[in-house]
Amino acid sequence: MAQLSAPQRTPVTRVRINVLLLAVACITILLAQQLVKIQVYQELKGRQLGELAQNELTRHDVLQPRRGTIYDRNGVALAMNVNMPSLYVDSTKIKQPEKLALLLAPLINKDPAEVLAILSDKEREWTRLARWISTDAAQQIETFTAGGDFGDGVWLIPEAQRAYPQGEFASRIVGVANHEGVGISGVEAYYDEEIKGITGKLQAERSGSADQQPIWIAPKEIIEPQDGIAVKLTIDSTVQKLVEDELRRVVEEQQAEGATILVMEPSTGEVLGMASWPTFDPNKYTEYEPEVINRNNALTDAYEPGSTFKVIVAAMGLQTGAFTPETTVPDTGVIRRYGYGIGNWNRAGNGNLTPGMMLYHSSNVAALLFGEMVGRDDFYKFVKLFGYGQETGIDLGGEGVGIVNWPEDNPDGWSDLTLDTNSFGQSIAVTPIQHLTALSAIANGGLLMWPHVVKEKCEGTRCTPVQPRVVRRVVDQGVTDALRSMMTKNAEHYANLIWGPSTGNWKDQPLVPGYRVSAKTGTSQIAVNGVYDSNSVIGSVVGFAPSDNPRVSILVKIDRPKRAQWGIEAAIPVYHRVVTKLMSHFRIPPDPSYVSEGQVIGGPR
Amino acid sequence: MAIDQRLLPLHSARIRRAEFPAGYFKLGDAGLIAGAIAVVCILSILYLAQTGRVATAGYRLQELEQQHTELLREAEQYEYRIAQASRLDAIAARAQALGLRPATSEQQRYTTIEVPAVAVVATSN
Repeated sequence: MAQLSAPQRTPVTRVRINVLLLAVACITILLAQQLVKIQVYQELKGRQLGELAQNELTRHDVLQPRRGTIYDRNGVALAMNVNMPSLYVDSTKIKQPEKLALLLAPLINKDPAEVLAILSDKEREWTRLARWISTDAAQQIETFTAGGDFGDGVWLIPEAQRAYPQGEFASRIVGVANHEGVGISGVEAYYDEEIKGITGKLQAERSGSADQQPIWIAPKEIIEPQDGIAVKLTIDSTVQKLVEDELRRVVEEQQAEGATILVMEPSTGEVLGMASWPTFDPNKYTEYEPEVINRNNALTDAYEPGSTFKVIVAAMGLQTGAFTPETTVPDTGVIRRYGYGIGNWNRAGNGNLTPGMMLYHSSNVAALLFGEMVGRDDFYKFVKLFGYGQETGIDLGGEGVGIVNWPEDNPDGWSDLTLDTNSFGQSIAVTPIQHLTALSAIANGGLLMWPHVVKEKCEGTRCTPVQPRVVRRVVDQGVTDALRSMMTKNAEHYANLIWGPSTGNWKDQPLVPGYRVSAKTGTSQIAVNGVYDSNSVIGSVVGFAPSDNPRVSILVKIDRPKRAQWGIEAAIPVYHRVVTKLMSHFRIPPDPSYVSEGQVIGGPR
Repeated sequence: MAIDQRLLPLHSARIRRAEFPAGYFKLGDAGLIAGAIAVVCILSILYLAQTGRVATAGYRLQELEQQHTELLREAEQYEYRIAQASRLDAIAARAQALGLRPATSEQQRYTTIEVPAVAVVATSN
């Protein structure tokens, strides 16, 4: 049996081994050097390189919260979020730009030449042609680009838009959130922090697909966004519609420069309706001047309340005991004080007047005398207690404080004459919301309520009601009872303006047949450069209804009416219509016995 | 009573194992390497399978989230249309189109409804 011999081994010289070892050592040293250079000394250190590599894989997204919806008190959405399509184009991938421009231009309300310039500019890879186009327009664009005739450079991408489905309706209260989602006026601004919510964060590895959507093998971090709260307003849409319609009507009829109508629930301070002229559409807020958007005339405009302030003077006198409902003062038509002659509107006297008859005749002389009886200290104490010269704290931004010449703050500017003129509503300026809040205290039995426009705040399905807040008691119930009676008689005094032409009865009669309502009018002069403008006035009415258990308090203010010589002629018809419709809206049963000859409940139309 | 240890099962098994040649149960180096490779392969396959399933579930989740977003957008559009349709102007216009008109003051009737007195029954414990 043959034996296999072992293979003969070739001897390796020591030199060769050493050469090989040397070569390996050199290579190892070179590699180590490169490693150290990259990991330790190179400008981009190893950790940074790692982060860069990770960033290539990882997608960082900000998760936007949903801005809270704003509803009226009945749950109708006034401001909400809608994702509307925006049109983007990649000009490098567009075919037949001329034809495409002609098709797109009318759908996005742009000039075809302007669109063509963008589509033909091959330097632009990503351009937004139009933001938030209508869904109808988007569908048409999808239809004619679906075939690929125009390339694949047209994109419709949904983008969140703050939408106001009611348009101009209640825009002064709701306000505006700008295109960046920041509230800039109204409730949108005042409650911005709560409505806007808190942004979230997503950090995850992304897919290699074109949309680079996150993949979920190892999501590293997700902080969910917190949606903003929804708010339900105190605004009653029917009341708001009613006051907006009346506002528009009176501005047109009287060719007035402006107007404000406010409706409040006196027992709670809830604002049921608030309308000011001019109005604006928050969906197109960029088309308006900033002062139109940012200014809510019901909160900012300071005006002399005129004779409507006499109600406040009567209240303070009755409360302090300076006079009683039976106290009389002589109304001589004109009275001299500190070198000035101060008179009634017609400079005619009315004899001895009680506080009630002072209101009835709207006597400046009697108001001055009653104001003097109250005295400086009590007068301004109650001006402050009623909330004048200070913010009401309403939950809307930009509120003014009016102008009160306080004797202690301005001893040089204040004089006894200031007290006299303040007594009939001159030399003092109030904001509509201040004045209505003060009047509501008389309507509700003497409590100054905090006026507010938000009724509920909701996080998901959990809603927290905003509780009405009593600021302070201003006058006693007995005082307000007396005043309500006086103001009801006052309202009957204005009724002939409404009913005289149709019934021929020019005597006092129910202003709103079937309902005892309270009212006090005022015609205020407008100071221009320190001098009263003899050609223009502000006509206003404040009141509440029904008188015995007020459901609503109302302020109507018309700026510079052109048709009516006196403010009352412009404001009382508006007040009458508003009260008539509100009584019907709130289903308050009329008293059939409180109707004068020829009057119709709910009329005249 | 004394117990015969040889009758116990563990003891008898040890005896039986001792009857095999020495090193019978030991793996050689090649065996160990092959075994390790096999284990690594199995673990890798399991890991890949698991990762694949997670990725598939992730994509499915992503699709569902996309659907959820689209449905939310659709719902928003409906809410928007409902809000627009709730405009009092639109309601009034629709009512007029249906031939309705506001009631005049002469057409309004007020009726007083007598609420029947509710008998209160006193209870006591």
